[in-house]
Amino acid sequence: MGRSVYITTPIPTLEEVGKRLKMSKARQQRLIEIVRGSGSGQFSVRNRDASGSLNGSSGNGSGATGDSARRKKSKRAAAS
Amino acid sequence: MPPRVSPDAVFVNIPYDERFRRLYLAYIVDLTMLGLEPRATLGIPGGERRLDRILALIQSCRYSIHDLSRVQLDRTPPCTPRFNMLFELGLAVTWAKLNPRQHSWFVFESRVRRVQKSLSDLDGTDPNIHDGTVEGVMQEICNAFVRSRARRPSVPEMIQTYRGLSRKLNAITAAAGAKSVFEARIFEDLCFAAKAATSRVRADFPRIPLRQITSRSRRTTFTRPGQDALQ
Repeated sequence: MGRSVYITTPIPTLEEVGKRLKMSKARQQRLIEIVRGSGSGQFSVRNRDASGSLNGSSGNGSGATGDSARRKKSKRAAAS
Repeated sequence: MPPRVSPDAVFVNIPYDERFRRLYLAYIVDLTMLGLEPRATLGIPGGERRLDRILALIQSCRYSIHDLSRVQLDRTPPCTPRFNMLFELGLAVTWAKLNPRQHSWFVFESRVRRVQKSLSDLDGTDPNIHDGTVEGVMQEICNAFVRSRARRPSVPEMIQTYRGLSRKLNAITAAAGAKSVFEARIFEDLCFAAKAATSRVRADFPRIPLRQITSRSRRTTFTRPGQDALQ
């Protein structure tokens, strides 16, 4: 059993991965569109600022991160 | 004659059930991000030749991961434990003993010291304990497979890719017309989608080293240089 192994082989490109999986171009394109397409499932980077609140959602169509943080802030302000 | 060994291929020997869905996706994302090629027994038909094909698959992989998280009795009657994963681990261990330069194997578990009880023949080997969490799988995969610093994806990058792909899982399954994520076609689709998502995430992390990772409840926070740490 190897406790850890050092990998030196190059990291394949997306095209190479598609070729290795023997996927058709159409199937590859369909998956790319699903993964990278716009909508609620897009990726976002969340950062916390000094006050501990979340900010900086980037490229996320839903904008859930910023909204929820703002809602929490306003709730806290209303409570106090 | 054994098949040619693929230097990047990893035989992923994990349970295929809905309760393991998150970790299944985590394994695919992590290995793909490390530039490795996950391979599984999904798609190998049953019958007489199945065992030969499984053995050929193990022989063609440079590495293998055996997740022994499911050693308990299956609820579906008749109640039996699953022996497939242990059996495949046995095949991999034998193959590695005969060809130590061609195969390395890793045992993953969710609980500490359980393997010592369930499979005491493995005494003296340290399993990678992932605690049954996605983050745990990512950390242990990174411990097992080491890349040079320049090419090594960070755990936050992995988590971000995982979350993005997790949200798209239903869309990917539906687009393929599959009923479950544990189908050969979906497995391939997920490997490719993980790679596509990786490119996307890497663009979000443009060569800025991540200094601090802090988990609060189920969220992970990424702190970049020049930004204050969590208070």
